[in-house]
Amino acid sequence: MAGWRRTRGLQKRVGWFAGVLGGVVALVVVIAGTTDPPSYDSYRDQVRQTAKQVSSAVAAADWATRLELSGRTAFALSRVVVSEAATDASESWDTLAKRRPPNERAMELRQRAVGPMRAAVSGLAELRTAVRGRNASDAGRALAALVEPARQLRELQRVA
Amino acid sequence: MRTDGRLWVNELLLDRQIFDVDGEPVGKVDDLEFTVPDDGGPPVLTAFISDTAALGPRIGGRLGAWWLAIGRRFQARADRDPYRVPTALVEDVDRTEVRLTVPRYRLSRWR
Amino acid sequence: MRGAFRPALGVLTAIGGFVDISNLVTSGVTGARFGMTLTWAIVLGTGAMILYGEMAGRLAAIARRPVFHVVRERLGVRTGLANLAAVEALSLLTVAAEIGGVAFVLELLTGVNYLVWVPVAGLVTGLIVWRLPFSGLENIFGLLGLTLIVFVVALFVLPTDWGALWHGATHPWVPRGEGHPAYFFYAISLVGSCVIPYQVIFFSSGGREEHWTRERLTEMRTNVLVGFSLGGVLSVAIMAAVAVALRPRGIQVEHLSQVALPAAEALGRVGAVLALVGFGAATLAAAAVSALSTGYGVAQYFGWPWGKDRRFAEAPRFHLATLSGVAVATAMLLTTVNPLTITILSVVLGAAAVPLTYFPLMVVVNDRAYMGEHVNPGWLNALGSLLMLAMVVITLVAVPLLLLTGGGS
Repeated sequence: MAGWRRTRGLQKRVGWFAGVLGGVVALVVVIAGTTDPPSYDSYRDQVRQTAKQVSSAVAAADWATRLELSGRTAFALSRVVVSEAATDASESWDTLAKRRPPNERAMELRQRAVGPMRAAVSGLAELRTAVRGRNASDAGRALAALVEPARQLRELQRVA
Repeated sequence: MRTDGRLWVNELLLDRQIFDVDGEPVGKVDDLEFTVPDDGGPPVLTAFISDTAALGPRIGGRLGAWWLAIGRRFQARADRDPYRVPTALVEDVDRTEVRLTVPRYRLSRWR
Repeated sequence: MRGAFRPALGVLTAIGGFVDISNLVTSGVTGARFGMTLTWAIVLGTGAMILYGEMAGRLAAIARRPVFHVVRERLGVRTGLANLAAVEALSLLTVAAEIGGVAFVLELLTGVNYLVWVPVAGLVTGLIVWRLPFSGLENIFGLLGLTLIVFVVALFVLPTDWGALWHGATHPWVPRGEGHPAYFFYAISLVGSCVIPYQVIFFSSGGREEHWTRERLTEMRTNVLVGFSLGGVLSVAIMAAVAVALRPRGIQVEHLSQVALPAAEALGRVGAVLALVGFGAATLAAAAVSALSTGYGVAQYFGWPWGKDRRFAEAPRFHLATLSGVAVATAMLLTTVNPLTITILSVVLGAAAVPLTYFPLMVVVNDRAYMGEHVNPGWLNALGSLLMLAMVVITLVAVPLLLLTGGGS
């Protein structure tokens, strides 16, 4: 008798579990349905977003480096800001680079983004090394090398 | 202790803060102890139980059972947890607190 | 000095419970993204906190009870316990966020990764809550945290367009390029970073530690008014400094470090040092305050002896609860989960959980058996309930909306 009752309890529990699982699956399907299908527009939005993030990182690093060079910060503040900016930019670009452009037009956009993005990421890495090593001339060179990518990234933020 | 009139234990006793004669916190009224007199009359309130583990049955269910079991394991060492506060030591009970006639440390011998 | 103006607890609560990691970060993020258009959220949060803080202080002074002393007798054992568990879980998240904040500040001071500093920050927090007397906590951190005024000064040094700031603050529309869900999500974050569930536990317990009495009601009210207003002013100043210095440069705040830059820009090395000292004091004080609140909550629910100034042997379970809170929070951080994620999570969940502590508070301050003639006037009840309801409704609407629309980006 006890065994039978236990089985029934188990059945009940499995049924309950299946119900919850079904609900979760349904919810996931609904949410997935509401997200954008792979299209040029969604890809372009991500490019704009990434350009915004990398631009922000470049601007923060640029500013912090200038503060450091003019002796206007304290402790490791500027070094940490530059270092975080380099990491952020590289992570943002990696995320975008992993995504496959959905069509020909998106592929063209990607071609346009690759140059300034890579230049910004590598420029920030060089800036990080220079600021860490307290090398003013290297830092100045790295800052100068970031000017052009920064301008292109600003344009990418408004790309159609 | 005021014994005139009737009290609803839920309204007026359970979960009240107990303070000793110096106003130091002793614990909460976690449970109540009733004793049936030898002559078989109605049960009489004989003690307040102030013991965190005693909350178990009031929480109920599996959690309550665990609570009690785990609480009892700690009991042997928690010598500062007055387990039983006889009503004889109670000075006054009101809406907000239970006040005792003795200092806190005197309670341990009633365990 | 008896009877003289002593706003120490108010200032500590302002620095430790108000301007904490969540407030520094959300003020910075919103200043960079939305300019001053979310100022109203800080004003609302500060106003609400003054309202509830006064109730908590009054409860401590008149009934001589902190909030959680009465939670159980009003809500019953089971509901009270569920309430306690929820509040404790939230407070633990906050402790973790604050210890993470302390570790961030140590990284900014040394250049060594914050994770290395997490155990140190946890240990220092533990030592403070265990060894430092309550008055020491108030005086040291209250004073050190005042260095955050550097952000107010910075606004006068920077080329601040006061007209534009004022225009933004008085025209709370969503800026171009930002969506409504993100706007309201950050509004909730700001209010949630001002009105924190453990705040009333701490303030009412602190009032007991300070031995407030009926005669010191005025002192208590001064504390509330000065302390929380100071917190609000500092938050707005940080938001404004970021709006002035970071927003035109197109910098989005992603880290605590960036929030310090306006002070450096305006005042050079001195500004940077003051900002970092202020960040350190605010996060460390908040770590201590939130950790103490975990201990206060547990001890008061069970009726155990509690109090910062009781020695370990006199209140072992209170001290044990507090210290284990610090230990658990530190362990949480050592899983390398991002402290800023914990921060935002604690703030948003906290906004939804505000009734857990504020509702029992309102019930008790309306109880004549405890408060006598000092019960809440009707208008205060109406206002308090309305604010609570508004916070819960907005949170329940804004957060799912935000998740559906994809992180507010």
